[in-house]
Amino acid sequence: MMLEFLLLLLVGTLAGVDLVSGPQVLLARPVVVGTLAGLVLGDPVSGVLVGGVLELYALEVLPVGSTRYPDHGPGAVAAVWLTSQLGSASAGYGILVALGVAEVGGWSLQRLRRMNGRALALATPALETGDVRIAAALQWTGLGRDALRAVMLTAGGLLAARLLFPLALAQPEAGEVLAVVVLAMGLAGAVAGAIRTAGRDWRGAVLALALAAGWLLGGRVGAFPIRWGW
Amino acid sequence: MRGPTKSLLRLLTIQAAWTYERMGGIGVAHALGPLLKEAVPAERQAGAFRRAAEFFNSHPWLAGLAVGAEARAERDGIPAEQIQRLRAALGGPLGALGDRVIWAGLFPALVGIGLLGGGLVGWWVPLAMAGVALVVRWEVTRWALRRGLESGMKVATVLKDCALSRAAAPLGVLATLAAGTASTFVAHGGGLRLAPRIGPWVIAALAAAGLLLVLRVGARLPSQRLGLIVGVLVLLLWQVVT
Repeated sequence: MMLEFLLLLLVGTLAGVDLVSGPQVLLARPVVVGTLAGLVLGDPVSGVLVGGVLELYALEVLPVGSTRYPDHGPGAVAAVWLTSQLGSASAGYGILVALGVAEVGGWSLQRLRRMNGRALALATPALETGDVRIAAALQWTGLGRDALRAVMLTAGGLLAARLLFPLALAQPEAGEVLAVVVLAMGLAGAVAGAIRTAGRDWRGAVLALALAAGWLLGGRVGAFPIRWGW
Repeated sequence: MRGPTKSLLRLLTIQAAWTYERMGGIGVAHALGPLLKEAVPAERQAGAFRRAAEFFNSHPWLAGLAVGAEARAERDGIPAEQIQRLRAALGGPLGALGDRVIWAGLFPALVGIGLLGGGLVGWWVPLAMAGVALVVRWEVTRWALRRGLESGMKVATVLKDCALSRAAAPLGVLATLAAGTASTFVAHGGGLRLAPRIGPWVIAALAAAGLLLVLRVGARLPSQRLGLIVGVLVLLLWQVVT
């Protein structure tokens, strides 16, 4: 139990750090984080399912420069945990927790940047002397702050999921309605992101075809993900 | 470990000390450090380091081009003003190219493939896509640093003719295809798993209404905030009604 918790914290921390500090190689994306959390819990189906739904929201986001964007990784860990405990009926609750954590995550990133700024202001006189070690110190402390931020977000998400546990257990029908809502809003986000990126030229037609093909494929294949063996 | 190797490793976490004041400047100085120490005369190092730590904003995957070019320019003894002009001129194009190729091209393409593979083939597909991203990140960063070191002040020509610039359009199409197909695939299949008693067309209709709202309101109401607000309202209403 303790090892599981520590591994989940590790997955959430890797995801949080990967978003901005680096190496920025998809470890922050919900579908990857969800799958890793699912593997830790011995339930990769829930991991891919929850991560996949949260990924719809992440597809809207272009993480450019100083803009505020949500941090979906740490919350995905909590969502997968809740779903693996109570089954698919609770996924809606878990995803709702993850969306809340992602919002707090976006806010915390801005706080982190301001904290980095304060550390920079303090270090500026030494930096002006040309001391190379100052840059290393700023980089390492920045990385440490980001890791701490991600640990706190992951732990906070798991705590919120634990608090929602009794409600999710008592009201599975509400979970079903929640699932429809989060799926629909996620799809709206993914399509909005794709429209903004594709523009209104011929790529818009490609997008329309892709959306139609995906919908038909989803109906033909059945529940996402299929029950692959592992 | 040699200077370029150290610099390459540091480039992987170039945004660790990102601030609103200097953006990625500190990360650039940190990555440039080993190169300066190895190839620039001692009397020039402090000044070069100060210049490197100034404001700099670009794409993290491509910042190696600027780091390499700056190290080469410092080694060649180029006047400080010219190096500062080079930095200022490089940030925008590197950022724009990286946004188009990596954030809006490669990432949605890999994620789309990961979602489709995760749904149809197995859990390992999304993880394999992260593996692909790691390999591409390493190779792009390595290429950028090497080309920057080779070209110095002529680095702009690298950007003009590089394979990355040519890859932007096809990657964009692949991203549209993969992410577009995966979105509706996940929404339809996810509905069948999570809410089998509610028809998928309810999801489609709600998504259409949400899409109109998100496109109309714009950045103030991203889907993630809309999903959170509507979800909490539904949960509260449920407590009142039942």
